[in-house]
Amino acid sequence: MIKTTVKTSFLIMESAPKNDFAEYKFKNGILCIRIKKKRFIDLSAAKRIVRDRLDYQGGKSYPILCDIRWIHKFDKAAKDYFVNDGSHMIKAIAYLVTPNLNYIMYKYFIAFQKGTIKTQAFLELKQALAFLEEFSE
Amino acid sequence: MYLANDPRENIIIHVLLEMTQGNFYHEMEIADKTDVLATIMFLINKINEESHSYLTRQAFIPAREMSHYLYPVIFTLDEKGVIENVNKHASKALEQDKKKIIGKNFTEFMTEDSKDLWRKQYKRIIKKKVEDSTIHLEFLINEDLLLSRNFFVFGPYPNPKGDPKTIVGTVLYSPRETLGKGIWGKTKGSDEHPIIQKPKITFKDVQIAKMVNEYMEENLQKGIPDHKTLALLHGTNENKLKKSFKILFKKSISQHFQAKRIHEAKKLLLDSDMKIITIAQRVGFNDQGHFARVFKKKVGKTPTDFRKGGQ
Repeated sequence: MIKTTVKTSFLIMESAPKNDFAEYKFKNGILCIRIKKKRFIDLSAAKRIVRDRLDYQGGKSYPILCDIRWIHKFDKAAKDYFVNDGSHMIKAIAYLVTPNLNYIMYKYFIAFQKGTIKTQAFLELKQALAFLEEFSE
Repeated sequence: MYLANDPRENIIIHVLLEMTQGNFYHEMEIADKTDVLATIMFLINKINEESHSYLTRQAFIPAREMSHYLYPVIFTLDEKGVIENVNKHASKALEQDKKKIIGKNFTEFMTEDSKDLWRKQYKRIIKKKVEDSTIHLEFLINEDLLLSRNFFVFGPYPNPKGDPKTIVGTVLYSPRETLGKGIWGKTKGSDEHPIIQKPKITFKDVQIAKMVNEYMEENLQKGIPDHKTLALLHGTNENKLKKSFKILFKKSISQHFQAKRIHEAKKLLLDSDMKIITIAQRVGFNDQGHFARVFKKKVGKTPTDFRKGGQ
Protein backbone atom coordinates (compact mmCIF):
# COMPACT_ATOMS: atom_id res chain seq x y z
CA MET A 1 0.00 0.00 0.00
CA ILE A 2 1.42 3.37 -0.91
CA LYS A 3 1.30 5.65 2.09
CA THR A 4 0.53 9.18 1.20
CA THR A 5 1.68 11.96 3.43
CA VAL A 6 -1.38 14.09 3.73
CA LYS A 7 -0.59 17.78 3.78
CA THR A 8 -3.02 18.76 6.45
CA SER A 9 -2.55 20.80 9.53
CA PHE A 10 -4.50 19.09 12.23
CA LEU A 11 -6.84 21.04 14.36
CA ILE A 12 -5.94 19.47 17.65
CA MET A 13 -9.18 18.93 19.50
CA GLU A 14 -9.04 18.41 23.19
CA SER A 15 -12.78 17.94 23.46
CA ALA A 16 -14.55 15.37 21.36
CA PRO A 17 -15.79 16.62 17.99
CA LYS A 18 -19.50 17.03 17.43
CA ASN A 19 -21.21 16.25 14.17
CA ASP A 20 -24.53 14.82 13.03
CA PHE A 21 -23.19 11.40 12.17
CA ALA A 22 -20.85 10.06 14.82
CA GLU A 23 -19.77 10.34 18.43
CA TYR A 24 -16.14 10.13 19.47
CA LYS A 25 -14.33 9.42 22.74
CA PHE A 26 -11.02 8.06 23.93
CA LYS A 27 -10.91 5.09 26.26
CA ASN A 28 -7.59 3.67 27.46
CA GLY A 29 -5.72 4.80 24.36
CA ILE A 30 -8.42 3.54 22.00
CA LEU A 31 -10.51 5.90 19.93
CA CYS A 32 -14.14 4.85 20.11
CA ILE A 33 -16.44 6.03 17.35
CA ARG A 34 -20.15 5.33 17.36
CA ILE A 35 -22.20 5.92 14.22
CA LYS A 36 -25.43 7.58 15.31
CA LYS A 37 -28.84 6.04 14.76
CA LYS A 38 -30.89 6.51 11.62
CA ARG A 39 -28.29 8.52 9.72
CA PHE A 40 -27.79 8.32 5.99
CA ILE A 41 -24.06 8.28 5.45
CA ASP A 42 -23.29 9.84 2.08
CA LEU A 43 -20.01 11.24 0.78
CA SER A 44 -20.22 14.51 2.66
CA ALA A 45 -21.03 12.66 5.89
CA ALA A 46 -18.12 10.27 5.30
CA LYS A 47 -15.74 13.18 4.77
CA ARG A 48 -16.97 14.86 7.94
CA ILE A 49 -16.60 11.67 10.00
CA VAL A 50 -13.03 11.13 8.77
CA ARG A 51 -12.04 14.77 9.11
CA ASP A 52 -13.29 14.98 12.70
CA ARG A 53 -11.56 11.71 13.53
CA LEU A 54 -8.22 12.92 12.17
CA ASP A 55 -8.55 16.26 13.95
CA TYR A 56 -9.37 14.55 17.24
CA GLN A 57 -6.37 12.24 16.85
CA GLY A 58 -4.12 15.26 16.47
CA GLY A 59 -1.70 13.67 14.01
CA LYS A 60 -1.24 10.44 16.00
CA SER A 61 -2.26 6.90 15.05
CA TYR A 62 -4.62 4.97 17.29
CA PRO A 63 -6.47 1.70 17.40
CA ILE A 64 -10.12 2.39 16.55
CA LEU A 65 -13.31 0.88 17.89
CA CYS A 66 -16.05 1.56 15.38
CA ASP A 67 -19.57 0.90 16.64
CA ILE A 68 -21.72 0.41 13.54
CA ARG A 69 -24.60 -1.39 15.25
CA TRP A 70 -27.00 1.47 14.52
CA ILE A 71 -25.86 2.21 11.02
CA HIS A 72 -28.92 2.75 8.91
CA LYS A 73 -27.82 3.43 5.38
CA PHE A 74 -24.71 4.36 3.46
CA ASP A 75 -24.13 4.84 -0.22
CA LYS A 76 -21.38 3.68 -2.54
CA ALA A 77 -19.66 7.06 -2.60
CA ALA A 78 -19.34 7.01 1.19
CA LYS A 79 -18.08 3.44 1.19
CA ASP A 80 -15.52 4.25 -1.53
CA TYR A 81 -14.34 7.28 0.41
CA PHE A 82 -13.88 5.32 3.65
CA VAL A 83 -11.89 2.54 1.99
CA ASN A 84 -9.77 4.78 -0.22
CA ASP A 85 -9.22 7.90 1.84
CA GLY A 86 -10.52 7.14 5.31
CA SER A 87 -7.93 4.79 6.71
CA HIS A 88 -5.10 7.15 7.62
CA MET A 89 -3.68 7.03 11.15
CA ILE A 90 -5.29 3.72 12.10
CA LYS A 91 -3.29 1.03 13.89
CA ALA A 92 -6.09 -1.52 13.99
CA ILE A 93 -9.85 -1.41 13.83
CA ALA A 94 -12.52 -3.39 15.63
CA TYR A 95 -16.13 -3.14 14.46
CA LEU A 96 -18.96 -3.64 16.90
CA VAL A 97 -21.82 -5.29 15.04
CA THR A 98 -25.11 -7.10 15.52
CA PRO A 99 -25.84 -10.44 13.83
CA ASN A 100 -27.40 -10.86 10.39
CA LEU A 101 -27.87 -7.69 8.36
CA ASN A 102 -25.46 -5.50 10.31
CA TYR A 103 -22.74 -8.14 10.12
CA ILE A 104 -23.28 -8.48 6.37
CA MET A 105 -22.95 -4.72 6.00
CA TYR A 106 -19.57 -5.05 7.70
CA LYS A 107 -18.56 -7.94 5.39
CA TYR A 108 -19.59 -5.94 2.34
CA PHE A 109 -17.61 -2.93 3.51
CA ILE A 110 -14.37 -4.72 4.32
CA ALA A 111 -14.43 -6.65 1.05
CA PHE A 112 -13.32 -3.39 -0.53
CA GLN A 113 -10.76 -2.51 2.12
CA LYS A 114 -7.25 -2.13 0.86
CA GLY A 115 -4.03 -2.26 2.83
CA THR A 116 -3.01 -4.30 5.81
CA ILE A 117 -4.77 -2.75 8.78
CA LYS A 118 -5.83 -5.49 11.23
CA THR A 119 -9.61 -5.58 11.18
CA GLN A 120 -12.13 -7.72 13.00
CA ALA A 121 -15.82 -7.66 13.90
CA PHE A 122 -17.22 -8.39 17.35
CA LEU A 123 -20.63 -8.81 18.90
CA GLU A 124 -19.37 -7.89 22.38
CA LEU A 125 -17.71 -4.65 23.41
CA LYS A 126 -15.32 -6.36 25.87
CA GLN A 127 -13.91 -8.63 23.19
CA ALA A 128 -13.49 -5.72 20.78
CA LEU A 129 -11.60 -3.69 23.37
CA ALA A 130 -9.43 -6.71 24.30
CA PHE A 131 -8.49 -7.10 20.63
CA LEU A 132 -7.48 -3.45 20.38
CA GLU A 133 -5.57 -3.26 23.65
CA GLU A 134 -2.40 -4.72 22.15
CA PHE A 135 -2.30 -1.82 19.72
CA SER A 136 -2.77 0.91 22.28
CA GLU A 137 0.20 2.50 24.08
CA MET B 1 -48.27 -15.55 -10.63
CA TYR B 2 -45.89 -15.59 -7.69
CA LEU B 3 -47.30 -16.49 -4.29
CA ALA B 4 -45.10 -14.85 -1.75
CA ASN B 5 -44.84 -15.88 1.88
CA ASP B 6 -43.58 -12.42 2.69
CA PRO B 7 -44.56 -9.28 0.67
CA ARG B 8 -40.90 -8.37 0.47
CA GLU B 9 -40.37 -11.38 -1.78
CA ASN B 10 -42.50 -9.68 -4.44
CA ILE B 11 -40.40 -6.56 -4.19
CA ILE B 12 -37.19 -8.55 -4.53
CA ILE B 13 -38.53 -10.35 -7.60
CA HIS B 14 -39.62 -7.03 -9.11
CA VAL B 15 -36.17 -5.51 -8.66
CA LEU B 16 -34.38 -8.61 -9.94
CA LEU B 17 -36.54 -8.56 -13.06
CA GLU B 18 -35.64 -4.91 -13.59
CA MET B 19 -31.98 -5.80 -13.21
CA THR B 20 -32.25 -8.48 -15.88
CA GLN B 21 -33.30 -5.66 -18.21
CA GLY B 22 -30.28 -3.60 -17.25
CA ASN B 23 -32.06 -1.23 -14.88
CA PHE B 24 -29.85 -0.83 -11.86
CA TYR B 25 -31.33 2.28 -10.32
CA HIS B 26 -33.90 0.79 -7.96
CA GLU B 27 -33.36 0.59 -4.26
CA MET B 28 -35.41 -1.40 -1.76
CA GLU B 29 -36.48 0.07 1.55
CA ILE B 30 -35.23 -2.24 4.27
CA ALA B 31 -36.76 -0.27 7.17
CA ASP B 32 -35.96 -1.75 10.57
CA LYS B 33 -35.81 -5.40 9.59
CA THR B 34 -32.60 -7.37 10.04
CA ASP B 35 -33.60 -10.89 8.99
CA VAL B 36 -32.42 -12.93 6.02
CA LEU B 37 -34.73 -11.19 3.55
CA ALA B 38 -33.51 -7.80 4.77
CA THR B 39 -29.94 -8.97 4.28
CA ILE B 40 -30.72 -10.14 0.75
CA MET B 41 -32.40 -6.80 -0.01
CA PHE B 42 -29.35 -4.94 1.30
CA LEU B 43 -27.00 -6.98 -0.90
CA ILE B 44 -29.19 -6.52 -3.98
CA ASN B 45 -29.24 -2.77 -3.32
CA LYS B 46 -25.47 -2.79 -3.18
CA ILE B 47 -25.18 -4.88 -6.37
CA ASN B 48 -27.33 -2.24 -8.06
CA GLU B 49 -25.14 0.55 -6.79
CA GLU B 50 -21.92 -1.14 -7.84
CA SER B 51 -23.32 -2.19 -11.24
CA HIS B 52 -24.70 1.24 -11.92
CA SER B 53 -21.37 2.81 -11.10
CA TYR B 54 -19.54 0.20 -13.14
CA LEU B 55 -21.69 0.85 -16.18
CA THR B 56 -21.47 4.57 -16.06
CA ARG B 57 -17.98 5.27 -14.82
CA GLN B 58 -15.66 2.48 -15.85
CA ALA B 59 -15.90 3.15 -19.57
CA PHE B 60 -18.28 0.21 -19.96
CA ILE B 61 -20.48 2.71 -21.74
CA PRO B 62 -18.30 4.73 -24.10
CA ALA B 63 -18.50 8.44 -23.36
CA ARG B 64 -19.51 9.30 -26.92
CA GLU B 65 -22.52 6.99 -26.67
CA MET B 66 -23.57 8.21 -23.24
CA SER B 67 -26.54 10.13 -24.61
CA HIS B 68 -28.15 6.86 -25.74
CA TYR B 69 -28.20 5.63 -22.17
CA LEU B 70 -29.52 8.74 -20.46
CA TYR B 71 -32.97 8.63 -18.98
CA PRO B 72 -33.78 12.21 -17.87
CA VAL B 73 -36.52 12.42 -15.23
CA ILE B 74 -38.09 15.90 -15.17
CA PHE B 75 -40.81 17.47 -13.03
CA THR B 76 -42.17 20.96 -13.60
CA LEU B 77 -43.69 22.51 -10.47
CA ASP B 78 -45.82 25.59 -9.96
CA GLU B 79 -45.02 28.10 -7.22
CA LYS B 80 -46.89 26.02 -4.64
CA GLY B 81 -44.88 22.91 -5.43
CA VAL B 82 -47.68 21.19 -7.31
CA ILE B 83 -46.63 19.09 -10.30
CA GLU B 84 -47.68 20.78 -13.52
CA ASN B 85 -45.98 18.42 -15.89
CA VAL B 86 -43.64 15.44 -16.06
CA ASN B 87 -41.80 13.78 -18.91
CA LYS B 88 -42.38 10.15 -19.87
CA HIS B 89 -39.30 8.96 -17.99
CA ALA B 90 -40.55 10.48 -14.75
CA SER B 91 -43.83 8.66 -15.20
CA LYS B 92 -41.96 5.44 -15.90
CA ALA B 93 -39.57 5.90 -12.98
CA LEU B 94 -42.46 6.39 -10.54
CA GLU B 95 -44.35 3.58 -12.23
CA GLN B 96 -47.45 5.76 -12.39
CA ASP B 97 -49.56 7.06 -15.22
CA LYS B 98 -48.78 10.68 -16.09
CA LYS B 99 -52.37 11.67 -15.29
CA LYS B 100 -52.01 10.29 -11.77
CA ILE B 101 -48.93 12.42 -11.15
CA ILE B 102 -49.94 15.79 -12.61
CA GLY B 103 -51.85 17.99 -10.18
CA LYS B 104 -50.41 16.30 -7.09
CA ASN B 105 -48.00 17.92 -4.69
CA PHE B 106 -44.41 17.02 -5.42
CA THR B 107 -43.98 15.65 -1.89
CA GLU B 108 -46.79 13.14 -2.28
CA PHE B 109 -44.48 10.55 -3.82
CA MET B 110 -41.62 11.01 -1.35
CA THR B 111 -40.61 9.25 1.84
CA GLU B 112 -41.31 11.15 5.06
CA ASP B 113 -37.66 12.14 5.50
CA SER B 114 -37.49 13.50 1.98
CA LYS B 115 -40.73 15.45 2.47
CA ASP B 116 -39.18 17.30 5.42
CA LEU B 117 -35.97 17.87 3.55
CA TRP B 118 -37.78 19.18 0.46
CA ARG B 119 -40.01 21.54 2.41
CA LYS B 120 -37.05 23.06 4.24
CA GLN B 121 -35.00 23.41 1.08
CA TYR B 122 -37.86 24.81 -0.97
CA LYS B 123 -38.54 27.47 1.67
CA ARG B 124 -34.88 28.43 1.62
CA ILE B 125 -34.84 28.51 -2.19
CA ILE B 126 -37.89 30.82 -2.29
CA LYS B 127 -36.62 33.05 0.54
CA LYS B 128 -33.08 33.44 -0.72
CA LYS B 129 -34.05 33.26 -4.40
CA VAL B 130 -31.51 30.50 -5.06
CA GLU B 131 -31.86 29.47 -8.68
CA ASP B 132 -29.68 26.40 -8.88
CA SER B 133 -29.34 23.78 -6.19
CA THR B 134 -29.22 20.04 -5.66
CA ILE B 135 -30.97 17.87 -3.14
CA HIS B 136 -30.95 14.17 -2.34
CA LEU B 137 -34.51 12.83 -2.47
CA GLU B 138 -36.14 9.44 -2.06
CA PHE B 139 -39.35 8.59 -3.90
CA LEU B 140 -41.51 5.71 -2.82
CA ILE B 141 -42.46 3.40 -5.66
CA ASN B 142 -44.79 0.44 -5.14
CA GLU B 143 -44.78 0.79 -1.36
CA ASP B 144 -41.30 -0.50 -0.58
CA LEU B 145 -39.20 0.37 -3.60
CA LEU B 146 -37.18 3.55 -3.54
CA LEU B 147 -35.86 5.84 -6.19
CA SER B 148 -33.04 7.49 -4.30
CA ARG B 149 -31.09 10.07 -6.28
CA ASN B 150 -29.55 13.48 -6.27
CA PHE B 151 -31.93 15.88 -7.97
CA PHE B 152 -31.06 19.24 -9.50
CA VAL B 153 -33.48 22.05 -8.73
CA PHE B 154 -33.74 24.97 -11.13
CA GLY B 155 -35.95 27.79 -10.03
CA PRO B 156 -38.28 29.20 -9.23
CA TYR B 157 -37.51 31.04 -12.44
CA PRO B 158 -39.65 33.90 -13.70
CA ASN B 159 -42.19 32.89 -16.30
CA PRO B 160 -43.34 35.66 -18.68
CA LYS B 161 -46.57 33.79 -19.38
CA GLY B 162 -47.60 33.20 -15.81
CA ASP B 163 -46.46 32.17 -12.32
CA PRO B 164 -42.85 31.24 -11.59
CA LYS B 165 -41.93 27.63 -12.30
CA THR B 166 -39.47 25.21 -10.79
CA ILE B 167 -37.85 22.34 -12.63
CA VAL B 168 -36.65 19.37 -10.64
CA GLY B 169 -34.89 16.49 -12.29
CA THR B 170 -32.35 13.76 -12.26
CA VAL B 171 -30.78 11.35 -14.71
CA LEU B 172 -31.08 7.59 -14.74
CA TYR B 173 -28.86 5.28 -16.76
CA SER B 174 -30.09 2.20 -18.48
CA PRO B 175 -28.38 0.13 -21.11
CA ARG B 176 -31.64 -1.71 -21.77
CA GLU B 177 -32.52 0.09 -24.97
CA THR B 178 -29.05 -0.17 -26.32
CA LEU B 179 -28.05 -3.74 -25.76
CA GLY B 180 -27.53 -3.93 -29.50
CA LYS B 181 -24.74 -1.39 -29.31
CA GLY B 182 -21.54 -0.88 -27.42
CA ILE B 183 -19.63 -3.90 -26.24
CA TRP B 184 -22.40 -6.37 -26.91
CA GLY B 185 -22.30 -5.87 -30.65
CA LYS B 186 -25.23 -5.82 -33.06
CA THR B 187 -27.80 -8.44 -33.81
CA LYS B 188 -27.74 -9.67 -37.38
CA GLY B 189 -29.72 -12.17 -39.35
CA SER B 190 -33.40 -12.54 -40.05
CA ASP B 191 -36.22 -12.14 -37.56
CA GLU B 192 -36.75 -15.87 -37.58
CA HIS B 193 -33.14 -16.80 -37.09
CA PRO B 194 -31.37 -13.93 -35.46
CA ILE B 195 -27.64 -14.29 -35.20
CA ILE B 196 -26.49 -12.77 -31.96
CA GLN B 197 -22.86 -11.81 -32.01
CA LYS B 198 -20.68 -12.89 -29.15
CA PRO B 199 -19.98 -10.04 -26.78
CA LYS B 200 -16.70 -8.33 -27.58
CA ILE B 201 -15.58 -9.01 -24.02
CA THR B 202 -17.24 -11.14 -21.38
CA PHE B 203 -18.18 -10.25 -17.83
CA LYS B 204 -15.22 -12.35 -16.67
CA ASP B 205 -12.87 -10.29 -18.86
CA VAL B 206 -14.23 -7.14 -17.26
CA GLN B 207 -13.65 -8.58 -13.78
CA ILE B 208 -10.09 -9.57 -14.68
CA ALA B 209 -9.38 -6.11 -16.13
CA LYS B 210 -10.69 -4.62 -12.89
CA MET B 211 -8.33 -6.87 -10.88
CA VAL B 212 -5.39 -5.91 -13.06
CA ASN B 213 -6.34 -2.25 -12.61
CA GLU B 214 -6.22 -2.73 -8.81
CA TYR B 215 -2.93 -4.63 -9.12
CA MET B 216 -1.51 -1.65 -10.96
CA GLU B 217 -2.62 0.70 -8.16
CA GLU B 218 -0.78 -1.44 -5.61
CA ASN B 219 2.40 -1.65 -7.70
CA LEU B 220 2.96 1.85 -8.98
CA GLN B 221 6.41 2.00 -7.42
CA LYS B 222 7.49 -1.56 -8.06
CA GLY B 223 6.17 -1.73 -11.59
CA ILE B 224 4.25 -4.44 -13.38
CA PRO B 225 5.60 -7.50 -15.19
CA ASP B 226 5.47 -7.91 -18.95
CA HIS B 227 1.96 -8.15 -20.39
CA LYS B 228 2.07 -11.90 -20.91
CA THR B 229 3.04 -12.56 -17.29
CA LEU B 230 0.56 -9.94 -16.07
CA ALA B 231 -2.22 -11.70 -17.94
CA LEU B 232 -1.24 -15.16 -16.72
CA LEU B 233 -1.04 -13.93 -13.13
CA HIS B 234 -4.69 -12.93 -13.41
CA GLY B 235 -5.99 -16.00 -15.18
CA THR B 236 -6.19 -14.78 -18.74
CA ASN B 237 -4.05 -14.41 -21.84
CA GLU B 238 -2.22 -11.41 -23.22
CA ASN B 239 -4.53 -10.82 -26.19
CA LYS B 240 -7.69 -10.87 -24.12
CA LEU B 241 -6.21 -8.55 -21.54
CA LYS B 242 -5.03 -6.07 -24.19
CA LYS B 243 -8.48 -6.14 -25.79
CA SER B 244 -10.25 -5.59 -22.46
CA PHE B 245 -8.07 -2.58 -21.67
CA LYS B 246 -8.67 -1.06 -25.10
CA ILE B 247 -12.42 -1.44 -24.76
CA LEU B 248 -12.79 -0.49 -21.10
CA PHE B 249 -10.10 2.11 -20.57
CA LYS B 250 -9.53 3.23 -24.17
CA LYS B 251 -5.80 2.74 -23.64
CA SER B 252 -3.16 0.09 -23.99
CA ILE B 253 -2.01 -1.64 -20.79
CA SER B 254 1.21 0.40 -20.70
CA GLN B 255 -0.59 3.69 -21.36
CA HIS B 256 -3.10 2.95 -18.62
CA PHE B 257 -0.36 2.11 -16.13
CA GLN B 258 1.56 5.24 -16.95
CA ALA B 259 -1.61 7.33 -16.59
CA LYS B 260 -2.09 5.86 -13.11
CA ARG B 261 1.47 6.75 -12.15
CA ILE B 262 1.03 10.32 -13.33
CA HIS B 263 -2.32 10.58 -11.55
CA GLU B 264 -0.73 9.45 -8.26
CA ALA B 265 2.16 11.85 -8.81
CA LYS B 266 -0.31 14.71 -9.23
CA LYS B 267 -2.00 13.80 -5.93
CA LEU B 268 1.34 13.68 -4.11
CA LEU B 269 2.46 16.98 -5.62
CA LEU B 270 -0.66 18.72 -4.39
CA ASP B 271 -1.27 16.93 -1.08
CA SER B 272 2.24 16.52 0.30
CA ASP B 273 5.49 18.36 0.79
CA MET B 274 7.56 15.47 -0.57
CA LYS B 275 10.52 16.32 -2.74
CA ILE B 276 9.95 15.74 -6.40
CA ILE B 277 12.67 13.09 -6.56
CA THR B 278 10.86 11.22 -3.77
CA ILE B 279 7.55 11.46 -5.61
CA ALA B 280 9.22 10.28 -8.79
CA GLN B 281 10.54 7.22 -6.97
CA ARG B 282 7.18 6.63 -5.28
CA VAL B 283 5.51 6.33 -8.64
CA GLY B 284 8.22 4.16 -10.14
CA PHE B 285 10.60 6.56 -11.85
CA ASN B 286 14.25 6.15 -10.84
CA ASP B 287 15.36 9.26 -12.67
CA GLN B 288 13.89 12.65 -11.80
CA GLY B 289 14.65 14.04 -15.24
CA HIS B 290 12.84 11.24 -16.97
CA PHE B 291 9.90 11.64 -14.61
CA ALA B 292 9.75 15.39 -15.29
CA ARG B 293 9.80 14.84 -19.06
CA VAL B 294 7.04 12.24 -18.97
CA PHE B 295 5.01 14.36 -16.57
CA LYS B 296 5.29 17.44 -18.77
CA LYS B 297 4.33 15.45 -21.84
CA LYS B 298 1.19 14.12 -20.20
CA VAL B 299 0.13 17.08 -18.10
CA GLY B 300 1.52 20.03 -20.05
CA LYS B 301 3.48 21.38 -17.08
CA THR B 302 6.59 20.38 -15.21
CA PRO B 303 6.00 18.86 -11.77
CA THR B 304 7.30 22.05 -10.14
CA ASP B 305 4.99 24.29 -12.13
CA PHE B 306 2.08 21.94 -11.51
CA ARG B 307 2.69 22.10 -7.78
CA LYS B 308 2.97 25.87 -7.86
CA GLY B 309 -0.21 26.14 -9.90
CA GLY B 310 -2.07 24.10 -7.28
CA GLN B 311 -4.46 22.39 -9.72
